Amino acid sequence: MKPIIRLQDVWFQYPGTQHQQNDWVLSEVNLSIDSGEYIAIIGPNGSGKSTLARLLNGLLVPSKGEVWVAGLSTQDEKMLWQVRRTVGMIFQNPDNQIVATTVRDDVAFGLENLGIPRSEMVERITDALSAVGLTGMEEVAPHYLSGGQKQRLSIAGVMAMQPQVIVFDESTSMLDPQGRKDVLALIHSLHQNGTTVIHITHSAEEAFLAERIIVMAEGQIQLDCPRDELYSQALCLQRWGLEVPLAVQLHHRLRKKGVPLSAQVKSNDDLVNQLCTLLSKD
Amino acid sequence: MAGTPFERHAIKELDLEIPSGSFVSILGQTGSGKSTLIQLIAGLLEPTSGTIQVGPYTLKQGGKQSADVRKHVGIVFQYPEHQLFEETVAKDIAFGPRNQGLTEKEIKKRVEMALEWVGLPSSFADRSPFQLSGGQMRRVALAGVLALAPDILILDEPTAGLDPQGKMDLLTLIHRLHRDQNMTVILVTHDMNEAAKYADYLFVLADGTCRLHGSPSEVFQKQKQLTALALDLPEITRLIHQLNQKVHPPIPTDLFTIDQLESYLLERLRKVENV
Repeated sequence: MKPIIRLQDVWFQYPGTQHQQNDWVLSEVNLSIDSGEYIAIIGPNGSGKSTLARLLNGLLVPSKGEVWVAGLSTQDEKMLWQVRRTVGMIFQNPDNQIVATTVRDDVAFGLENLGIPRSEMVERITDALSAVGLTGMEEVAPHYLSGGQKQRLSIAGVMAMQPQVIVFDESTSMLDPQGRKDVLALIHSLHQNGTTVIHITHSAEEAFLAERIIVMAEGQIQLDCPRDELYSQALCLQRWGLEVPLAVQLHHRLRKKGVPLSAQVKSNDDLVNQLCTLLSKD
Repeated sequence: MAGTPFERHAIKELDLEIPSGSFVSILGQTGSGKSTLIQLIAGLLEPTSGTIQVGPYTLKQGGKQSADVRKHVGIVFQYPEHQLFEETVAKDIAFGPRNQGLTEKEIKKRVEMALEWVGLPSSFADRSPFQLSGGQMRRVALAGVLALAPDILILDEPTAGLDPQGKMDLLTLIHRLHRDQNMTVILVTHDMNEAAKYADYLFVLADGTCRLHGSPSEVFQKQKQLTALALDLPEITRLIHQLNQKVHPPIPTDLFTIDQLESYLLERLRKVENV
């Protein structure tokens, strides 16, 4: 199967900084993403995560190397339209993504641009709003919605356009706990339904929900491995100032003090089970 | 918008007391009234009814003391780096003190003090704030508020958007200011881990009133009520609850740092060994 997204030796620097030789925001990035994958990208501030996200749908094009989306190069301006139909983006601040005066019109905006016939448009809007739990709010003005609701509205707008890939760029970082849970549940169901999901986040808890995790630092991919493989060796994330899952930290500390736990911990539940066995040994 | 069809009470029948020199956290869902509350405390909004006592000053509808209160309360809004505007870091930090009518000498002292408090080297003073990293810009914005030498520091989600290291650095810095300068800190946050780790006392708001308050261990024991208010437990408390489903007697739920949990478990495992 051909990958849905492929980056081939991608280098990037922002225009106007070319004279500074070493000012690469991204360098030597090679990455291949298959259709239907659920990937998390983590990395400290300034590691190039958001730049990478913007390269995936042609909002930015590489300074060197090439990005292929569904077989199309993002360098080819004639194909940009098609590239952006394939890869949808959800940003951090929901206020920056809403354009219309009612919830329904906001979802309709993208569809109108795609020239979808009215009857199909009505159906897609209904489906998208129901998927994000905003049914019944069609006539509400977006500025009356909470942050979490606005973010779900942004997702509905992208979902209605039925892209094959959706990139979430720190889309939960401005939300309250409920809003965060709602968005994570939506990401999960999008993945279940076959959409390729790429989630950029600072939270270890959120990142480890994905199947594959990519660690970025200093403009390069430092690690790219399946979730389970990274979990057991997650202590290495400290090297980049990233969060280590609590269960992994605790496991490491207790083992150092001689507690007979298994050499590696697979998940939160794994540690809980092992500790329970030890604590109720009498 | 009192008297119009859009009238809505953002805060109603709210009673709370924040002791001087404490570090408290205000929690609550979006729309629960947190931001309204901090603007009332800072004298930026007037209560429609009721009074707010800030030190020796009283704030009430039509009152005259809000200007005095503002001299003692520093408020750091969400994403404060968006409010940076001056050519240099020093000028940006000096903006507040200059508006307060301080002498140039005193202003210079305040700028140096604020830079030191937020842990930025004095060499930053002449740099443009717009060429700093996100975390550094946020520190400069914080320094601009600290330069007013407030007795009460209010922060509205100060760590949103920072990476884990940046979050920890910023909160450690705020906690140190609280301890060394005896500054009263009011932290509004969505992050239960932060509230549990740094605050001595928590207020949980919902629908404009205070539904729960107490020390972190008191508040985070009330799991059902918190869930009903759409709030989470700290990660460490969730892990302890999970362990307690199988462990008897239960592990205490007032352990909020990994150090505390580690020593407790080691102690307890030692006892099991000796039985």
